[in-house]
Amino acid sequence: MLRYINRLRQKTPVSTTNNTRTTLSPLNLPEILELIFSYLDDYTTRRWAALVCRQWYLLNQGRLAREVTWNQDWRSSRKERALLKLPGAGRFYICHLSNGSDLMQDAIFALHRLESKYLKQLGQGASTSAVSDNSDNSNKRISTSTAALTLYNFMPLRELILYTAFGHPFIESFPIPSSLTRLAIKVGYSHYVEWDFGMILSKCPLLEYFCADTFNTSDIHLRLSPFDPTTTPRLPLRSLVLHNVALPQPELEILLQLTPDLKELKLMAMLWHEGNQYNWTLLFTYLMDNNITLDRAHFSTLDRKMSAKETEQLLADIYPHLSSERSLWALDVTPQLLQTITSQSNTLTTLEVIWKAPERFAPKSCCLTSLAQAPGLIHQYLCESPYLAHLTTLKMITEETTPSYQTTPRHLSAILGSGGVAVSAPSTSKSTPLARFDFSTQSTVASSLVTSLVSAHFSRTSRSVSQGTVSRKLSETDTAHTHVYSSREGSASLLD
Amino acid sequence: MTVILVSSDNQDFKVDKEVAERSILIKNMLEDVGESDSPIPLPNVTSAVLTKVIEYCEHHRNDPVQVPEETDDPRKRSNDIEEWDMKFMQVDQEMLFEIILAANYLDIKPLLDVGCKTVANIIKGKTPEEIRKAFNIVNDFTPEEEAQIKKENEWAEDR
Repeated sequence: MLRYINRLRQKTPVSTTNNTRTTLSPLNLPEILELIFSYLDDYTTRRWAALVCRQWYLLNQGRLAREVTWNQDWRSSRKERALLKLPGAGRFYICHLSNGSDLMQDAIFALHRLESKYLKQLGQGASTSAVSDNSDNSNKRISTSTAALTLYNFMPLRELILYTAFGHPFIESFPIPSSLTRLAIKVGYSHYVEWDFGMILSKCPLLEYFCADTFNTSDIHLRLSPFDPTTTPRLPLRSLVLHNVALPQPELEILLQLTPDLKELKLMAMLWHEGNQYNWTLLFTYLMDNNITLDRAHFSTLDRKMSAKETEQLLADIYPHLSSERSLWALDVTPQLLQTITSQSNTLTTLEVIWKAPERFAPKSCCLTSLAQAPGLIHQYLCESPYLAHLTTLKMITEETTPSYQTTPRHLSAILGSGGVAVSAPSTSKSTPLARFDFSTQSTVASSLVTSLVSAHFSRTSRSVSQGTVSRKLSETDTAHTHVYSSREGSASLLD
Repeated sequence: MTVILVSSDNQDFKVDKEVAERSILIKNMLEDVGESDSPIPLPNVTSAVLTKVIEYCEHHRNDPVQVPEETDDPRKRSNDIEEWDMKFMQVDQEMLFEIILAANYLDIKPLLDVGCKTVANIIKGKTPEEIRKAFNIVNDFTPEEEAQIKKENEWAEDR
C-alpha cells in the first residue's frame, strides 16, 4: 500500500500552495489523511471523499465495505438482486431455513462464481506484481498487485454469516470463500452431524474469526482429522467461539498448537464427544504451558456444573493469568463462588448477563435453586463494585406462551434491586456512575418491562425501542469483565 | 524555567518549559538532554507557524494530558471543536496545512486533531470536484473506475 502511495505521490503531486517555500502538503501523508477521514461520516466518505482520487479511495476502502443479505424466504426477484450485488461486498449474510441445500442453489452458485473471480484476481496479481506479498493482509496484496493495471476488479468477501435452521452435512460441500477472514455459522437445530473443521480451516487460510453457534438442541461435532501439527503451517486464527457443539479435547489441543495469535477462546456449553468429558483443568494447564494468553475466554460444559474447586481454580488461578475477561456460567454461580469472588479485589467494570431458555429447556441436572439465587448474589456483588461502568443484558429470550416468561424481567429486577440499589449504591458511595446500560430482548413484554425498569433506574438513559445506551468514557484501564451465562446462553434468533 | 526554540528562519522564541512541553517531541528532547540552556532548533517550522503553535500551546498549557479514548465506534466527531480553537483555526488554507504539519512534526496530538477536524469540516458538504479544486488534487480515476465506484455506492445505500 505504502509503495503504491509513494508511486502515486510522484505521479500526481498535490500542491497546495503557490508559494515555493513549502512543497509538502499534509494531504500527502497517508497517516494524516487517515486521521482526517476518521472524522468523516459514512455518507460523506462514500458519496464524496472516495470519489476524489485513487489514493482517497484506497485509504477509505476498509470503511466502504458493503453488506449483502440473502434470505431464502424472499421472492426470487429480490434474491436475484441481492446476489447481483455480491461481487465487491465485504460481508454476506445468508439466511437459510429449510432442510437440505436445494433452495439455496442460486446462492451457492453465486459463491462459486465469486470464488473463481477471486482466484483469478489473485492469479493476475501474482503475475503482474513485482512484489511478492505473502502476508495475511490481503488488502495489501490486492492494492499492490492491481496498481499497475486497473484500480480494482472487486473487493474480496471478508465475512460470511450463515444462518441455517438445521445443521446439515452440506456444510462440507458448501462453497466457503477462501478470501474470508471471518466466518460464523449459526444453526438452529441439528441431529448428529460431523463437520470437518480442518477442512474449513484449510479452505480459508486467512480466517481470523470462527464461530459455530447453535441456539437450540444440537448435536454438532467438529472434527479436526486432516491436521498434522508438524506439517501444517500456523493459522492466523485469533478468535474461536463455539457454543453448544462438540470438539474433542485432544483435537482442540492440536489446533491450539497452530494458533499462536489466538486471543479469544470461548467454549460455551460444550457437548461431550462420545461420552468424553472435557477436563478443563488439563486444558488450562495446557494453555499456560503453551504460553497462550487470551483477552477473552470462557469454558463450560452443557448439562454439567463445574465443581466448586474447578470454578475456584478458574477464577483465582487461571483467569488472572489467562485472560482479562472472566466469564462464568450461571450454574456455577453459587454462594461459595461468591465468597471466592468477593475475597478477591473487585475490579469489575462490565457485567454482561445473558439469559436464555425458559426452565422447560433447562437440563435435568440444572440446579434450579442455585440458579434462583444467582440474581441476589449478583446484586450483592454489584453493590460492592466501585468500578462498575457497563451493565449489559443482551440476548435475553423469554417465551411469552409459557408461564415462566417472567423469569427474565424478574431476575433482572432482582439484579438491579428494587429502587435501583444496585445501581445507585456504587455510584453514590464511590462516585463512579454506571456508564452504560445495554439491553435487548426478543419479547415485547420483557422489552417493555425492561424499558420501564431502565427509565426508573436511569434518568439519563436514552431510550430506543429495543436498545438503550448511556455511555461514559471508562477511566479505569483494568477491564476485567464478568459474564454470567444462564443455563442456555447463546445467540439471538435467526432473524434478529 | 524557559526554553528557546529556533524556527527555520532563525528566529528565537523564548517560551515557558511547560508550554514547550505540550510538544511531545520537545518534551522527549528535554528529557534526553537534561538541564540545558542551549536553544532547540526546529528546522521544519517557520516563525509564522511557530508563533501560531506557541499561541495554541500557551492557551492549552493547563489542559490535562489526553488519554486515548476507549470507544467501539471508529468514527469520531468533528463538530466538537472548542470555540477558542475554532477561532484559532480561522486561517487561510496554507497556514492551516502548515499548522497540521507542524503539529505532526512536533507531536502535539490535540492540535493535530483540531487541524484534521477542521479539514474534515471543509470536506463535508463538498462534491468530489469541489474537493479536488479546494485541495488542488488531480482526478486520476478512469471513467470506468468512477462508474464502478458510483455503482457500488448505489448498492451500498440500497438495502
